[in-house]
Amino acid sequence: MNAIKDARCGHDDGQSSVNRQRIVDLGLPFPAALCTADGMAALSQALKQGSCCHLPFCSTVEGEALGADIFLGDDHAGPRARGNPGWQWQEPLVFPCVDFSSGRIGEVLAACRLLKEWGEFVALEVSGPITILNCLMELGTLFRTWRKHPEWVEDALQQLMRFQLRYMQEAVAAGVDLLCYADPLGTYSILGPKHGKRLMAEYVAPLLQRVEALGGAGIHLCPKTSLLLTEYGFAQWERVTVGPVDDYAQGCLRAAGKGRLFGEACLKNTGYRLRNGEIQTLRLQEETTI
Amino acid sequence: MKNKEAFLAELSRCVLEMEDDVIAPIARRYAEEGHDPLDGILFGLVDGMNQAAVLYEQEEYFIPELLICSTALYNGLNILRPLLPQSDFGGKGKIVIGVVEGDTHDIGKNLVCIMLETAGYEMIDLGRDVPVERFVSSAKENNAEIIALSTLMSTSMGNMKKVIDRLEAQGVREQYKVIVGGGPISPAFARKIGADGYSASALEAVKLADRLLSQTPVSPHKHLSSLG
Repeated sequence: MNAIKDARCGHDDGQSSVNRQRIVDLGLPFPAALCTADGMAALSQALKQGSCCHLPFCSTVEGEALGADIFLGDDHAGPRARGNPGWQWQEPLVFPCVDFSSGRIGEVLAACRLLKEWGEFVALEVSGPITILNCLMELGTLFRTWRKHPEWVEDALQQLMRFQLRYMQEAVAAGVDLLCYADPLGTYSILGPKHGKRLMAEYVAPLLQRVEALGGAGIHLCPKTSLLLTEYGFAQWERVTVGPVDDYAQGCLRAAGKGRLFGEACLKNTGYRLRNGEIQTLRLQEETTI
Repeated sequence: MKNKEAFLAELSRCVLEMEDDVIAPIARRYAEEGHDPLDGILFGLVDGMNQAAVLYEQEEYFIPELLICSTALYNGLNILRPLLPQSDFGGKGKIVIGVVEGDTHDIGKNLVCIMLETAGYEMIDLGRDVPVERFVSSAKENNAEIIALSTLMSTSMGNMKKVIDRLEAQGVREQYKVIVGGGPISPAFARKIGADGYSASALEAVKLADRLLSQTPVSPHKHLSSLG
């Protein structure tokens, strides 16, 4: 078996932490800076490094919209799940109907619109299914259910995909320039080849095909996801010339039109530089089968 | 009526092959037929988990498989452990373990905890999102030898150093070995913050703990004989 070497996380210096103290030190109100459009837009602009303003500041927005209990943080750390609704396969799964104009998810989209009004490029971070589902159930339960009752997980993934597509549609309508997909718990080093390939086939590749069809924003993938897609044949790399750019994010923005799916490096790795004025884009294979 | 060896092989197989929903009745029958519960744990359940750990090292099993194996292990332990005399398990040392504050992802920590427990350590599992001071106070209360810190998130890494700083501030740093691990953690980071060790995997954590406490890895047979 060819073992894959997982891509290394590109932002390992803890600089992206948004605990209460950091927000207050920036002269911004807590917790408003994490849950109101005005606050989030101001915080995103204050934290901006490079070409894009990033939103949100955690991977809990989607989970919260689906029912997770989220603690917005304190002096020690930023937002995280305080508990989960404890989804189980024994109960029929019906996702709540999410109103994308209200709640923290609505404020995130409104913050995107504000940043666009302020003349900023906006990168919206969206979480992958394993990370979202971890806000809603224990991971051990998820993996066990995926093995013993796969139809329940397949149904959950289908419902989750519909939710994510709606979210990304709203984001594109809000003017987001880059949709940044990352699934910290859905990586090769955690899932392994069997579940990694399954996740690509059953969720990521089909999702990306539908997101590409939306048009509008570019799509950036965490390199851990782009690795799985390419290693298992769901996508292949192509080089595109973008010329001299200030940073990798600018390269992604400039390439939009020649290619829209990126993922050669971590977008938060502000030290990463393109070589020879070229950026790699991903071309999805037409058929996604296991 | 099954003989003891057949039962032990079945318990081991159930753990290794993730048969978490059938292991409890097997463990119950094993005990009802009068077989030694400690043998059932060490040569049945732990044997299966050790084989699963080898497959993990060989990258045949990953986190999803290990989590289900551990569910099977604990389903069997829930039957057999209550039948043990108090002192018969966990005598190699005490380890306080938890996910540092700011992080609620505990799959890695749970696996490390299972492997260390099956290796004979007594685990004080503080769970996830654990405040700095709680690691220190728990280590003191339980006379632990090792404090094991885990995080999956780069934004929480700084809290690992805070635990070490708190130990130093209280003048007790030398009393505990501090080991760290998790997705964004590296050997360089561990050295930078003054940790005593870094482990890249659950199995390595066992070897690290053994090394730090200057114990050679103990086979189940030796573990038995050490109980006298």
